[in-house]
Amino acid sequence: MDETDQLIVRLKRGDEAAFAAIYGIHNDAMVRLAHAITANRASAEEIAQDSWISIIKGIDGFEGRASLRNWIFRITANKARSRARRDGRSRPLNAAAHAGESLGDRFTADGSWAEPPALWDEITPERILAGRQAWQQVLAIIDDLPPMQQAILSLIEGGRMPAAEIAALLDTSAGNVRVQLHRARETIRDRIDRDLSHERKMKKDP
Amino acid sequence: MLSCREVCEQAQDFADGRLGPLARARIRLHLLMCRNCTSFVDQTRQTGKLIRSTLSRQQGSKVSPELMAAFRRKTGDDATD
Repeated sequence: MDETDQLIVRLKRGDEAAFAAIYGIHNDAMVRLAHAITANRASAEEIAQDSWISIIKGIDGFEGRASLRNWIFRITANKARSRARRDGRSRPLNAAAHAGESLGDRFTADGSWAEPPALWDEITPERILAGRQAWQQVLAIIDDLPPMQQAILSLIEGGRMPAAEIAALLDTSAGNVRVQLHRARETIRDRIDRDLSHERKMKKDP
Repeated sequence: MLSCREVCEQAQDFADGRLGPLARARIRLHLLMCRNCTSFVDQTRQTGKLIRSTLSRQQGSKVSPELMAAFRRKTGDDATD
């Protein structure tokens, strides 16, 4: 019996610590998934809560044919889809690739560096941003991404979910999931790079 | 020889270990000679780490009292069945 199986058994028994653990692991990604499908952050929170109620009700009938994670996210995606239909919102198409196109202006026409990247190796971002808590800064950047990219980032980087499973949830292709992931990471790298360069300049001539 | 732009476009796949041996070797060769691209690949790796540690911090959110009550109610119902 692996860890997840044990968690399922504990959930079925009504173990509150098990419920709190599984909630902690998945809730943020569920909200971001619902946000990506409905394009509405406020209703995304409600959909996640509502999904948890369905999960509580359905856990006894869950037989473990699909993974628990997959089952949880399918419930969320289905609820988000019916909510979007009810609200007359069709899923927003992937906002044109304004994010992640940042590479474009860094190179000359022959593909060499026009604006070289700042060196992160002498001082790591963790160290530079330590006073301001690096994670808060990164979180703010993630929250700024298009909802589709937030959901993908959270499912892949936070949940280690395979691209094909995410594609099914979001009704898109695995290829598109990888493209969106790529853009999200590049946008974050670029924002951190710009923030660090800015901070260094301020340090030099405040 | 790959251009800097080509190297950077493949930096994530390189950092993720998703490239084949030949593509990997071509990038390594470029990195031996290019400090800027080495910085870029390093930034890409560090960004991945920062994203993962940020998202894992997000995984600590607490169950609302209402939801926990619903979970408790469900278990209570089962017990009286």
